[in-house]
Amino acid sequence: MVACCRRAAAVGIRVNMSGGEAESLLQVATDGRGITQPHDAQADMEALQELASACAHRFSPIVAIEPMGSRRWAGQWLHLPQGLLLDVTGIEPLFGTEQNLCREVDLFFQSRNLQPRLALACTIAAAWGLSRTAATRPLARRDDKSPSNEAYRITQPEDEFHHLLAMPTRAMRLEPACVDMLARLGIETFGQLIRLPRQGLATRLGPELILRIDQLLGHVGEPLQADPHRPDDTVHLDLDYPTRDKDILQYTISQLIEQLTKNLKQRVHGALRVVCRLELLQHEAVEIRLGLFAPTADADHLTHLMTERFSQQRLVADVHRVSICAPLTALLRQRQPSLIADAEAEVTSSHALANLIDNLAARLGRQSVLKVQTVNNPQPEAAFRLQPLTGQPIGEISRLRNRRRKGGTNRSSPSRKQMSSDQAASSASDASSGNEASRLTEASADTRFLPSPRDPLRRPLRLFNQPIALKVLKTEDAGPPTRFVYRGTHVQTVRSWGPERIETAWWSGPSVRRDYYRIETQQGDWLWVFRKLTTDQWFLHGLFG
Amino acid sequence: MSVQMQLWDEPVKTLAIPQLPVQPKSPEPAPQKAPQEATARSKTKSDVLSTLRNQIRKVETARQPQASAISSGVSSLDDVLPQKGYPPGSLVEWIDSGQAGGAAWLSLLGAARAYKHSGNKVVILDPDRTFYPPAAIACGLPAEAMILLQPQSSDDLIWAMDQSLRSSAVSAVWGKLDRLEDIDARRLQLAAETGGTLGMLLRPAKAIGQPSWAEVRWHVHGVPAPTDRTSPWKTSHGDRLLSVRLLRARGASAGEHFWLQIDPQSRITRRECLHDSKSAQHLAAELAHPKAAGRRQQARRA
Repeated sequence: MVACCRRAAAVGIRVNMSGGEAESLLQVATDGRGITQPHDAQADMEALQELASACAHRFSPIVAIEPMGSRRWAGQWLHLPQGLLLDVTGIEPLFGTEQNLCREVDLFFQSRNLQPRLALACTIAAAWGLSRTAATRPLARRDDKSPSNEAYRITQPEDEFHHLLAMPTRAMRLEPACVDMLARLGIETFGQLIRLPRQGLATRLGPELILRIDQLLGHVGEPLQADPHRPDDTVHLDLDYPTRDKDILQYTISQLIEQLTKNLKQRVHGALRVVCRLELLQHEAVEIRLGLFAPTADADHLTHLMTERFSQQRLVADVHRVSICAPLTALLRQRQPSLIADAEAEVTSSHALANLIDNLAARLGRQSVLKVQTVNNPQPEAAFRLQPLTGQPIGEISRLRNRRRKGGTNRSSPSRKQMSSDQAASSASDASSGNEASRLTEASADTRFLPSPRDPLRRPLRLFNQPIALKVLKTEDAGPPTRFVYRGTHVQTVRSWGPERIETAWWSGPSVRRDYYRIETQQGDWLWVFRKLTTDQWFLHGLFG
Repeated sequence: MSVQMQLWDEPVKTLAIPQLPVQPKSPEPAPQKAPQEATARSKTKSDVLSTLRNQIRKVETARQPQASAISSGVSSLDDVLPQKGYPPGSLVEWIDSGQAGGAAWLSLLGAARAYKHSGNKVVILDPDRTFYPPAAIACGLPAEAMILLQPQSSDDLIWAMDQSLRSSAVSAVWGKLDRLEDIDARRLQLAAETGGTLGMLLRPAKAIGQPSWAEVRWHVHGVPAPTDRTSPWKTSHGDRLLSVRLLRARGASAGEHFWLQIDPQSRITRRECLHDSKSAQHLAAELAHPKAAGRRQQARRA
């Protein structure tokens, strides 16, 4: 369980609960009408990065995504960063006052249908804690377009300490175990904590507590890990005459890409992500983001992809500035001229493959160009996993996944297994050999449920996402239906094989209990049908090709 | 024999007529072949036909990459094909007249063989999102060899297929095409020739009547296992029978019809059809059966 709404929390669903537990609570509370969604960590992270870069253009040049602790759940019941840190030192004169700055930020987020919790303080720790305490976002103000000044927690250096005294300890980025221990000692707020003798704290509650206290008081510095863009990976051009003429803009983009790739080539780097930003007059800027399969510094290729995406873009106003940056680059694979033809052919083939995949993803969309990963799961629908080939997880996500793979603290629920068996980044170049080895051992551990070429007729080639309910006309004792209606035609079963019972574990979501049969119809088609054991209904689930 | 010639873009250099001596202008046929051809001509009709076939193939495949044919993955199918496999850069159509008659499975075996042949990836087009990768793995196509595309529209489907066929980094493209205009078919054919990629197109039953741009066209449907004990071979419990008919192959006589018996270990053996007329008789006999006829009359009266 990664996140839930307030109504879900009211029926007892908690973050970090197991999927099955939450699902059952939800179904009880909503009479089976509740909706759970699989979590896409990468999409979350990318959305946050996009917000960060938008803030960097709008407010402050130094924007960081909140740092996560060294452990996965360190200090926060979070799986992923959820906050943005802006360094606003010296920029409030540009917005008038700090109040105005906060209001601008608030309006900016609200224009994107987001409800931010804002706090402005002298240290990262204080701002983090204050934004997560008290009612920084009163409900009554939701419809009000001009937020009142009291909505934001803004502290001055002289009175910050007083604000902090009432801050609860759970907003101090501490391990949950540590917070529980403090609560048992009767310590709920920072004010109570600071009165304790400092000497005993580190030995009893761990050195991290001391670090957090010092960070709150500003005794220890905390670096802001802003997204570092190399200045030469960004090129821009201010247009003398703002225009929305597509030809002119396309020409400008191609010129800028030429310039960008020249810079990249000098460092023998290739772009993995390219962002084209078109600043509009009196409107919010438009961004076109490209994710690439393999690093490339080929100007023609990038221009082609960008043109494809640009032609789909609608411009509501004239463009006055075009900038192109490569936020993620990687070392280009060196091409060594070889006497052996095979090696040369292999390099050109991998180059052609990268080109093809980039082209396909540019037109069909990233979510439509997929690679397949097998998962050891007996449930047929969950026996594989599809992942986009372009825009591989980067930065924080891949680090988290690596950590998850190494960490022994996880419970081995199937969803975790799926998470740990991915990565792969076939050519994204940064998959270390250690990861590779661990993946291999994991794959060879239990291949019981994977199909093998030894029994090719066991699984159908086409599997419906939603099993189709069958109208059964006749069955023979406990076996599959001998006559049924499918797509309006009467089908008669000639032969059948089964049952193959498939049940899922109770802890991995809604339980599935089915008896599968392969049947041969009198037309010679092979179908895969099952009986739902809970309701005794028959369904068609797949077709053998 | 249906032979469709590719004479659109290039003028034909050689067109042989059996009575006239052949004068190949291209430097490829060596001069010592001429006496052989002369003797062949004087021989039987079948020799003449095979000579002609070879010549036509040379004219037709002038643009195609010269490489050895890729096996279809099933030796019984290879035996029927003129080059004992599919030439690289060709389209193969599979027509399944049933819902799940085995064409997808046989074609995927071919794609898996093409992957083994070149080591390049196989692109799978799955617009209706029903493709089940574990079954493809069971066919011998490993997960890392697959690129799965899920285009939203039919335009995107054709475009994606064209792009994939055109790429030299792809060994085979496998996809289901319900509708295919002539202009698109020609486009796909040229793309396959450019990339030297094998195109496996699954077509619905209604495509049988339409003209084909493919090198080979198969018609496959499942056959319920014979229940009577008169069948000349044994079918064990888990066997599957597929009826395969070669509707079209450039350079071979079409119309070859046989059955394939697939056992649970995926060993495939060729079987001659239990003749069609017999099953028709069987049906007629059943219709005329006094019991069944009486039942029908009763139903009509009711």
